[in-house]
Amino acid sequence: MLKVSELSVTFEDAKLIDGVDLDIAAGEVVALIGPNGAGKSTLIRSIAGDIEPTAGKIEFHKRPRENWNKTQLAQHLAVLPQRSNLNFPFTVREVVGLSRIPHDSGAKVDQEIIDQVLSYLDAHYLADRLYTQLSGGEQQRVQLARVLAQIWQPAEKSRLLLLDEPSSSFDLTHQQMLISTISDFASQNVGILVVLHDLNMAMQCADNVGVLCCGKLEGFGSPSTVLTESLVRKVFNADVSFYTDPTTKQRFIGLVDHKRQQK
Amino acid sequence: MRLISGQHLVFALTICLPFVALLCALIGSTPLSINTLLAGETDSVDLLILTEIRLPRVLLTLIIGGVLAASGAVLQGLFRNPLADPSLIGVSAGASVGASLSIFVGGSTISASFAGLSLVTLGAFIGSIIAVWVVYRLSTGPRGTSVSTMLLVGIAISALAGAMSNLLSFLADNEMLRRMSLWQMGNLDLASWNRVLISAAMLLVFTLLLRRQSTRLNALLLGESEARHLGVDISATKKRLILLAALAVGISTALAGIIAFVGLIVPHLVRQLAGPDHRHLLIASGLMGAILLLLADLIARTILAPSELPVGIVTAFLGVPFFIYLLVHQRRVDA
Repeated sequence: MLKVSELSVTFEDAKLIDGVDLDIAAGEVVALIGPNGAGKSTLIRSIAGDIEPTAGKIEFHKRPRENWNKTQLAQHLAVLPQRSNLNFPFTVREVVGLSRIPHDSGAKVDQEIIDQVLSYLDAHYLADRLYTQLSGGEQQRVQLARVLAQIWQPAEKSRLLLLDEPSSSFDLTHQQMLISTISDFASQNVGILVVLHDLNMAMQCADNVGVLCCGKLEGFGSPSTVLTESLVRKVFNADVSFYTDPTTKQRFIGLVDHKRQQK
Repeated sequence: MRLISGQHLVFALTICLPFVALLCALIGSTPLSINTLLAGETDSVDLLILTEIRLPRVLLTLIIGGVLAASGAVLQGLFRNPLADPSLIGVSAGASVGASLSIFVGGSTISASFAGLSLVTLGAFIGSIIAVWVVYRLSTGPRGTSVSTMLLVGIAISALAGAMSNLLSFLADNEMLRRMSLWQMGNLDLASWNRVLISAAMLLVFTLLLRRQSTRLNALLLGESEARHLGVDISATKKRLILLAALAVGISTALAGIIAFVGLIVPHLVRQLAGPDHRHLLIASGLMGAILLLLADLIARTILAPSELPVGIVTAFLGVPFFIYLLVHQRRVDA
């Protein structure tokens, strides 16, 4: 349903994105990984419409994204940016409620959805607190709730969720919650593109992994075929080892510290 | 945390406004009594004072107070900065140059007027529009209008306009100088039915065009990208809001001079009472701005009666300590 072809973004002679092709099907989870400055956020923001691509096409449900009616697109496509700075004292309930602007579902339905989303993300106890007084992790959960509330109900066509580092301030409980949220939404036929730094999480929740490096897609495919020791070493320039859990057969990746081992 | 719900605040202010307006119409250097007025002597002096002096003044004050406060709320939302003020986009400084220039050039032809408005009023309006236009052009590039650039350009253009005003003051003679500085202190004593009609027309247009913008302003508080992801047409919304606020503040300033702090403090106060949701913030700010400016003008009219204090002095003297209290109090709450 999302088809990105030959996408390039140039900013003052720097090629931030260089000829990227990417397809996401309904219900598919694609994790974008890559070192800092690889262009992950730029790619997400081009798809979200924040950045005008220099070349290439972005099609959503076979229609160029710029041809979509803005409200209709917002009913199908929700975006969680990497950072948000909201410094007005809205309550958590009001922040999540802002997600319903593109919908015409009425105050009653909206309130029900807000309650459902907040409970779903283990944030209902925050509902009447002021957003500005929450911790970083709590604010991130509220922003996630807002984005999920925007596409909470099935729309005319299948929905797409773009998440830029959604778990950067989450503790373990909420990282696990994020993994199950992603698989819940994928099972409802929502396509998901998520930028992750945690390769273990990428292996756990993604159907396909895209490895972005210097604006180019260096690899794309299932986590087991793409995420190899040699590719991770090459792209991240880091020393890593892979392990397989003997009972669950789940693969894990870990950093190796040679200096410490020599002691 | 919230002292009152938005709807309740709007309701309470709507009830209060007519009483305050009536009070202000009756009190003054010549106190009027309702009984005498209701007695129905059509040629009484009291009735003449009421219809020709007090009513136009009360109505003009009410409208200008409301428009300044609501424009302040719009600009604070647009700039996503609770400390933004209508003067930040250059309106006040531009109006000031326009007014000073009219006083300077038209010195001998004081009575020159057009459509019942003095040359000074027209000059102030034109000056404010030119200043805002320059600020807007300079902060708009191929990627649209950058509100953070606009804030900085606004400060720069205001400083430039300030220098031009100072130059005019320096060149002016004593009589002109007095009129220039009085204009800058804000005055509602020029109130006439003519001015009331102009401001009422502006209020009507302002209210109609602003009606559907509150949810967009709410979305903008999240951030421009976030608002775009919610389907808001960012560049069109910004253009419309800047134009609306600039015209409203420009006309208000032209009619009544520079009245500081109403546009800054009132939205701040409403937010502290009932939260930042623009669906009630805009209307509640308008109502509260009307009430506060009526009271400030009442003080300005009566404290040195029979002579009058410029209302801008009163709003600053009352507004600044109150604003500092709000800031300090808010810091304690946040800590």
